[in-house]
Amino acid sequence: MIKKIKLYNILFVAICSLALIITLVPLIWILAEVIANGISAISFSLLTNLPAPPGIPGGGIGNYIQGTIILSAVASLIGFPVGLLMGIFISEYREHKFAPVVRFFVDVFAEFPAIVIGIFVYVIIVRGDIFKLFGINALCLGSICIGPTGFSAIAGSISLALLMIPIVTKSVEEALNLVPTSIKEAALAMGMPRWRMVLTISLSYARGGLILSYILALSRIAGEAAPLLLTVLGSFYWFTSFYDRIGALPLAIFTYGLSPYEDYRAQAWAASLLLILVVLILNIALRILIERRMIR
Amino acid sequence: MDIIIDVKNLNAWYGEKQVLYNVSLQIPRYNITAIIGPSGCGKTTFLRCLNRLHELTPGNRVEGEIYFYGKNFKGNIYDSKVDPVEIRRHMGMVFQKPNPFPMLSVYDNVAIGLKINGIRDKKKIDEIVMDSLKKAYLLDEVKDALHKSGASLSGGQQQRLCIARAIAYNPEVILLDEPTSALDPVATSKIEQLLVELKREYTIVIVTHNMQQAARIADYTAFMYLGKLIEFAPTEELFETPKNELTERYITGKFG
Repeated sequence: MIKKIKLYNILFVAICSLALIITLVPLIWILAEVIANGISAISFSLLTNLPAPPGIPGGGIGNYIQGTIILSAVASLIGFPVGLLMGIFISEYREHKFAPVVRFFVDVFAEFPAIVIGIFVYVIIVRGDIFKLFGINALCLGSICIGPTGFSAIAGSISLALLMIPIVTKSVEEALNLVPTSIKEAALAMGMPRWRMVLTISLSYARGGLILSYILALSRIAGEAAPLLLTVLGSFYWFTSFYDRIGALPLAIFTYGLSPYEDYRAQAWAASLLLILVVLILNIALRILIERRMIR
Repeated sequence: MDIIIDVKNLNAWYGEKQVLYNVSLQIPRYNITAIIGPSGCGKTTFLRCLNRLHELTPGNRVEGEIYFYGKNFKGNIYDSKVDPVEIRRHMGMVFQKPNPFPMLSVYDNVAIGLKINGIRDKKKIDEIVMDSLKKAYLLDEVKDALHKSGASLSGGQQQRLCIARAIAYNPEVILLDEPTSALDPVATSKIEQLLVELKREYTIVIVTHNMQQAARIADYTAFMYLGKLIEFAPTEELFETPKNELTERYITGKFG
């Protein structure tokens, strides 16, 4: 009898280990492949130069790096505050009659394929259907007009912001749900209005989780190619204006990876390695900070 | 008798479940009033009705009147025109488990109540924080740790920090919900001494399931059972010559 139990135990552990191997092998393989192929292509000039025609040495991916930084920054400026406010609403005001509705839509939104968001932004902003909806060609305030943007940095940023919002919302909600009721009650009992309690006590208690939710969302959007293909299209030049096309690392991986030229494919590997490294470093740095209790 | 809080026909519900039935009670100023009774008798709910904290949990409901005769507020705190946020500023609350704000320093834990009451003058804040810590018998122990996290103190110190936090913005009433149930006897006795000191300046209402504690420090004691106020009398009277049979059985340990 005991032998049988032991046997089952061993069997179960073996199955679990198998699942672990199935998960880990591709992960390590990808990392190894990216590092092996990417590291030889990475150089200082690669990081700072503009692309060169295939076969001509000295070409770089500097504009793609710049583009990813700009797109992520603008997307963060739009997406994080909106996600944060929505997260606050569905966590701190969960008894509000709209809170479950918002939570449901955010859950659905979070599962949207990125390409669908890309198409949406393409139709609404790149092609400018939002203006046609109101029967105008452009929205003018004095001499400043906003019309269909064409393939542009701003359209790309908006599509990434839309991707970011549900991710931020859901993880901010989780972070705020972890704030103990006793702490909130202590604040309310001393006559703190609810909004002030949220802003000074809950957000400050959960600040580690809030930063984590931002990093999570940033890691996700930094690597997205699908929505950018439909909104930005890519560019071989440095950033000029938000109404112009712009490069981005995932786009470089997409176009260079498919190209028939050896040196372009090597640069695609380098761009992949760079993206993975940035995400990895961000996550590791954050974990160290949390462990050292520099942020809670 | 100088009454500061006059509770009239208080009923309270926790969701669908009624937990307080027609409780009427008059709390005298500058005294310690203890509320005792077995677990689940509604004593904590009663306390949380006094500063309108009970209604904050969705689904909870309160009916009845509580008249508060403070310096800057006189009237029914459940009047529809009254802002509960303002009421809570007249009262300090100390909870069962010490709950200092862990992300704030010892100093800021006390100062935060002043800031929400509009005190901006740094010197004045400094003065009040030190004074509150001194009144809570905590200053000597934390004067070198004022900028450490409030959570770095021992349990007993944390609870005294919570008392300092509760008295800093100068409330008239301090509500304590079993403040010593998570503490050891030494820390408990420190807090009891402190409360006896504090009643010179504040009215104190303390919920306790420790009858000895009520007997030691309270001037008046209320005994509650199953959501009803069974008996309310000067502490000595209640413990020595209880009028109600239930009270007698409870204080002699026959149930509870």
